[in-house]
Formats: sequence, structure tokens, C-alpha cells
Amino acid sequence: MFEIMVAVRYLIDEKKQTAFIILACAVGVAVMVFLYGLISGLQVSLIDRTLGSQPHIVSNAHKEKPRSIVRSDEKTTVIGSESRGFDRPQYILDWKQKISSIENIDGIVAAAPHLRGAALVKRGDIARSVMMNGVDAESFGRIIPVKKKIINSKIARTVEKRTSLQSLSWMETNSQLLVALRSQSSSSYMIQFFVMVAVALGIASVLIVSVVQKRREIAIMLAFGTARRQIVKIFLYQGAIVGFTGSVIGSFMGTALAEFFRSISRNPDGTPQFPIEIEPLTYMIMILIATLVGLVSAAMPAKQASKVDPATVIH
Amino acid sequence: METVISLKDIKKSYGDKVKTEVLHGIDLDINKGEFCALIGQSGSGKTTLLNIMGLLDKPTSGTIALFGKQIENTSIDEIAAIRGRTIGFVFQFHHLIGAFNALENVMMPMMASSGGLATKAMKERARYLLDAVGMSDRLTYKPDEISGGQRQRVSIARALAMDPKIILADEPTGNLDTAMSNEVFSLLRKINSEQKTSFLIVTHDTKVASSCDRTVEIVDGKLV
Repeated sequence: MFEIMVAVRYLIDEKKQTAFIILACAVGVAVMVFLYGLISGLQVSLIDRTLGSQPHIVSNAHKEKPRSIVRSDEKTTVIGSESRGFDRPQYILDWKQKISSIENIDGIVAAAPHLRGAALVKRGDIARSVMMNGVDAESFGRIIPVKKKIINSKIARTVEKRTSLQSLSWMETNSQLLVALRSQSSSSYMIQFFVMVAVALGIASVLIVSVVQKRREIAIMLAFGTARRQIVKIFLYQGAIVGFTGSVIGSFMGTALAEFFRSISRNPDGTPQFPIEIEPLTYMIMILIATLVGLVSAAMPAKQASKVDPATVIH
Repeated sequence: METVISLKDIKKSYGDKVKTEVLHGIDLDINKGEFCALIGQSGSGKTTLLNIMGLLDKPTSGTIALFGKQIENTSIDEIAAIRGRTIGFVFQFHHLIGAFNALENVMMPMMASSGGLATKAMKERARYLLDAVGMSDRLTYKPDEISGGQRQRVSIARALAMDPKIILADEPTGNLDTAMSNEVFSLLRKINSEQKTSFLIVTHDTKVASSCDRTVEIVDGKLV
């Protein structure tokens, strides 16, 4: 407690230095919070739109494969390739059983039959080909609201195994979108990482200056019996306190920034273009990271402080 | 007579390639309750000797014993703890900690030693000491809000905080005017006679030296 108390008093005593470094940390965390909120909001809304009323996994009857009449054997070699399947409608005759066995799979919330095929619409002399989609209104209605829990490809494989139907999850059918989103996320992590590096350098440089300014006081503390590890702690705590306080302020700033951004980017009808949702856990993680960054960036100054030689400094 | 600090054949040299020996074999015992002056020209090794006695610096060779106990094989943090308990320092410049007021400055050694925050007992002791040095009306003043003599009195109170066996004072009155200097000096004498605390006072003021019980003179790194 002694070390924390001295750390706090030192920070309070150096009002301007402390205010600047906390502000720098706050700005850094605000950028992180804002970026995180923006990107995750954007991604959630994109995924929502993509999924829309789509099911997360689509299971189809296997396409019929054309069989060649002549087969390769010891005497004959058939050169050529199989043509792609005919677009002949395939039916899942035992669909009721399949649906109930799919519904039994862990992680499946709802399953519904879907009939799809080409048809011709004719009126007078004019004929148009159309795509027919048939659903069972009641069970399909249960699929649409399922948005939150995103089903992954592993479940699609389970479905495939149990039903012997060709099953694809939405992640497989939208893999390009997901790759794009993932690289967006990783570039945002990169930005956040470098923002934190800049914050760390800022905290470290201010604390190094503070150690130089306080060499005499450190020496006198050593002279009256303070252990070197106590001196180390005094400076480590200063870093951690700066990181913590800065990130709490930065969280508010980042949220305000995100709210402002949302208020200016609206659809023509006035609704926000996308939600910016920052969960409490995100704030906690940001604060934890910033506090750790503060602690780490204080390591060098703290080591420097513990090396002060009272014999050469005091007189 | 009980010996507080005993130095045997202390040598100290500086520099890696060209060694400069500053102390050439010092033997010195400070006894309990002794009020001793250390005089010498600047550059004679006074400060080096004081640093070694205060366990702030290590001798190149020779032994130091505190109450007959050798301290050579003691870890750096243990030495800090021993120093905190047995030795008090008063310097020419006050060396108070700017962020803390007078009362807190006096409590600092006690808090550092306990590793915790100020207790009621610590506050009482700090009040008592500040009262003893005539600073009871300046408890909440920070170092930059009081005069040089007052700061020196606060640092004397701080030196007494851990009830040390010896106080090492480096030119304690060197930075003060005559009136203030007399006041601080008689305060040190009073503590010496009341608490039986030993004193080693580095000074080049012959008047100060002559009013001590014993005077040790150092010339070119040797006691004469």
C-alpha cells in the first residue's frame, strides 16, 4: 500500500505531466474503442444482411451423376470426363425423417423443408421461366429470426453425416465475404496494436523524465530504508494507474465518438446505417489491456529508478 | 562503552583503469551517545566516509560493524532495512519529498519500513517529533511552503522517525544563517542528551566542531 500511495501522490504532484499522459492514453483507448465498435457494428450488420432470411445451413439432395456406358477395364481405357450433372430435379422423399433427425443435432435451432425448381409461367403467347420457391410457412418462420447464434461448418458436416444430404453452411457459401471481414478485422487489430505501442512509448517517456526529476527524492527514500523493490513498485504502479485512468476516460471518449459518428451517418429515412454496439466486456478488456500496457511501459523507468545510487546523488 | 559503528581499515578507490584512492585505511569507532564532529577540507574524503558509514556506499576493502555485527555478507535490501532502523540522515540540503507535507515526510521512513499506510501510532510519533523540533504548527505545510531552517528541522524529525542509534549529518547547518544555524545545532545537542542518540556531524565550521564532544579530522583520506 505504501508504494501505491507514493505512486498516487507523485502523479497528483506532477499535475500537468500526469494530465498529458493520461490524456494521451485516453485518446489511444478512445480510438481503439471507436474502431472496435465501428468495425464490429459494421460486420454484424453486414452478416445480418447477408444472412437475412437465409438459413445457416442448406442441405440439398445429391445431384445425379451421369454414368458412362463404357467402363475402363484391362482392355479398354475410356478417355474423357464426366459431364456435369443434369439439372434434373432431385427429390428428398424421406424429408420428414431427415428434418426430425436434423433437428436432433446439437446446435440446430430450427429446420424447415424448402422446395425449389424451375417453372414456366405462360400467359397468352408469352412464356417466362421463373424460379419457384416453396416453403412450409410455419417451420420456415422459425428460421428467419435465428440470427444471433451463428451456426458453423462443423454442424453442417454433422448434418451431412446424419442425413447423407449435401450440406453447406452459410460460411461456406459466403466464404469470400468472411475472408474480407476477417482481413478488415485483422487490419483493425494492427491499428489498435500500433496505437497501444504509441501510448506505451508516451507513458514510458514521461515516466523516464519523472525518474530523472526525482533522482534526489529516490536517493533519499533509499537512504531512509526504502528497499529497491519498493522503488520499482512505485514506478510500476504509476504506469498502471495512468493506463487504468486513461482507459476509463478513453472508453467514454470512444463511446461518445462512436455515438457521434452514428448520428451523422444515417440512411435517407433517418435510421442509423449500422449499429455501434460495444459490450461491457469489451470495455473491461480494453481497460485491462491499457492497464497492462501502462505497467509494461513503466518497467524501464522503474528499473532506472531502482538503479539510483544514493551515494552519488545526495551530496 | 558500547560501540555503535566500527570501521576497520576502510579503503575506497574510484575509477576502473586509473584507480584513485580516496580513503587510505580509516579506523573509526563511534560510541553510544557520542556527539562527534568530522572536519576536513573539501576533497579530503569526508563525504565518502560518511556514505560508507551510512551504508550508502561500499568500501573497496575493510570492514564495517554495526553493534559488533559485520555487515559484509548482507543483501542490498537487508542493508536498506538495517539502515532504515539504525541510521538517520540529515543533509545540507533538506531533501524532503516535495509531494508530501511535513507530517507525511516524517512518517515516510515508518511507512516504507512497514510497507503500509500511515497508522495512528505513526501519526502520533511524527507529531511528537515535529513538536520536539518546534514545528508543531506547520504539520500540513509542504516543503516549498516553509523556510530553509524549518525544512532542516523537519528533516531532523524525519531522521529521528525510526528511533535511530546514530545520526549522520552532512553540513546540517551549512545552508542556514547564523541564528538559524545555532537553533538547529542546539536542537541536535538536545536530542543527543535526551535520547542518547550518537551523532557524527560533518562540518567545516570550527565553531560547530569545537562545541562537539570529540573532533575527528580527515586529511587526504586519513584520520589525524
